Amino acid sequence: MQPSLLTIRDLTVRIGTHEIVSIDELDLAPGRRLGLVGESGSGKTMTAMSIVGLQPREATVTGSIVFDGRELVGLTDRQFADVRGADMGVVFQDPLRALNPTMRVGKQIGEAVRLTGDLSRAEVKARVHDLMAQVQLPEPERLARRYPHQLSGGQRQRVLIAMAIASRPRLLVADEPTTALDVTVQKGILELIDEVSTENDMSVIFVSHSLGVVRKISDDVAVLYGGRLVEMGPGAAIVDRPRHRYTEALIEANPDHADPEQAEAVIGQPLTTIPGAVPALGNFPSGCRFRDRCPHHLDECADEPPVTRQSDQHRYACWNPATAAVGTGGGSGGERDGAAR
Amino acid sequence: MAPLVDVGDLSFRYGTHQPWVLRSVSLSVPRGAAVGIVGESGSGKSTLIRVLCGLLTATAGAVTYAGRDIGDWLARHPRQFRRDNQLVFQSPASSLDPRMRVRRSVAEPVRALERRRVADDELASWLTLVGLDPSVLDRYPHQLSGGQLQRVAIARSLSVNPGVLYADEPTSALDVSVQAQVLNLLMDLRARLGLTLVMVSHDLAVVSRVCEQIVVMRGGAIVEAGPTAAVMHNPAAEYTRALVDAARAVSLAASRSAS
Repeated sequence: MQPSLLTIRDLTVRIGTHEIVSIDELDLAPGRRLGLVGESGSGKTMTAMSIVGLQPREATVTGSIVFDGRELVGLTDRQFADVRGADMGVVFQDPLRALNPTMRVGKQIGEAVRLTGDLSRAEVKARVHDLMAQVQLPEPERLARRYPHQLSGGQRQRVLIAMAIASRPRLLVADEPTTALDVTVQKGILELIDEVSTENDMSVIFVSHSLGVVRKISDDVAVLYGGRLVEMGPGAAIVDRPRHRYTEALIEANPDHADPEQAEAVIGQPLTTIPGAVPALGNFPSGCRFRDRCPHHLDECADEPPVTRQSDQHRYACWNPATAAVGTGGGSGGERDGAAR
Repeated sequence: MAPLVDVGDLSFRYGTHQPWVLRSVSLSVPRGAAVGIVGESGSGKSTLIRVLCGLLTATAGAVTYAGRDIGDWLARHPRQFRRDNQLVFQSPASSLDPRMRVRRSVAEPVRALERRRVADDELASWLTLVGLDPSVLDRYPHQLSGGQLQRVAIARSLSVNPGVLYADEPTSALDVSVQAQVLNLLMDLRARLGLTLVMVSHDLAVVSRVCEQIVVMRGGAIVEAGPTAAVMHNPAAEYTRALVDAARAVSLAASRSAS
């Protein structure tokens, strides 16, 4: 087995007395793409931000995050900045806020380039144009002179990606990079992240609330709920054969999970819902954090947090896991093969 | 049968020197239908429903509601028109007054449009209608979850017994698990109350689940309109095809058939 680029053990992130994230085990191999998916409050962003050392000041991170052989938990801001500068790129959800509004975008990309080493002005300029070409921004000469507000949302996100990959990092962390974008623009950005990570042999951690988006971009998908890793495995396996009841419910609640062939038949038909809402911080139930919203909960779900089990392709933490594929006809149930309902 | 809402060659801009936001839009909504308007940001979809429910005035073209011009409605029977045409916004957290208890927010349309006080029983019945416990009446918006707030907003618009419910991205601020609840509620209310539903969304999957008719907008104009199944399976316009492809690329159904 390939040595992992990132090894997380017993990671917890706390703010005050609240435990926002608690993850026992998460590994990322070099060149692999991992999707972190969950609803609001699942801890997906907090997990990603603690990996790159950009968690909020008031958050306390404990446990172990080993990146390329180096322990990251406990690094000073300065030390973390060096690790990030050399080996990690970060892309945020809202490029307009991540970019400096008063600086031409070429200059901003140039700053990211300059941080990577002692380069002459001409070298910086050449590298900026090279990066802009890599992220498929047209007419680099002209576009580099624009300010962020003069670019479209998709172009701004491409600028941010160019800055993130300027140091040829080994890990790219993207936090909801397409959520603020139109769906046709999103498609282009996903394809771009796919291309740049493949070309540069970069690992990717892609954070999103959308299982469909994560599935599209990632090799492996980790599903989070209430700060816990509930299920992890290859994207196709997670979507086709979820084991955790939360993953299963999340897929069924998605309006686009219906088979296109049956789309007409399900118009106006109710979707499968997950009762209740994600509890506020500190209000999660004992045992399995999903149990009071779970139609399949057993008595033991309340007693103890589920142990993580390994089945052929994925790991999941559920006392009463799903055994069969999720039906394809939303609401019809016709495709279901004997799953316990 | 004459359509309930009829739009002919509607154009709109915010001022004489401003760019056109809507360009020659024609559309008709039969009574009892569920029509979904999809498009990307800047396509004019939200502006369109704001004109239809009388919040903005058309610059050119005609909009009729129940056979009568909406300018005429607003001049002669403004309160009746506003009761008949209710709008639910995207973000309930900002569409409800944070300093008002739910009780007062929900009672407000009736007070303003029907000029009467509302009894607690009546308020409670509206909350029950949208699946909320009447105890919510004494809460402030910040004490409720996003899904609960959107239910409050829906209860509020239903309190005046509208003929058409316009919903502008009603679920895009919500988590997937809560989105399904709110979409089910809208479909259920439509069936139970015989509502006409006009829903704006950037999400084709949402619209194609809820609405039988889809209108695709781009750059202020309608590029395609028709029955949902036809638009989704057999898009005539190139732009619709791009939109359907992009949505399908990240849909869970597509990932399953691809794998």
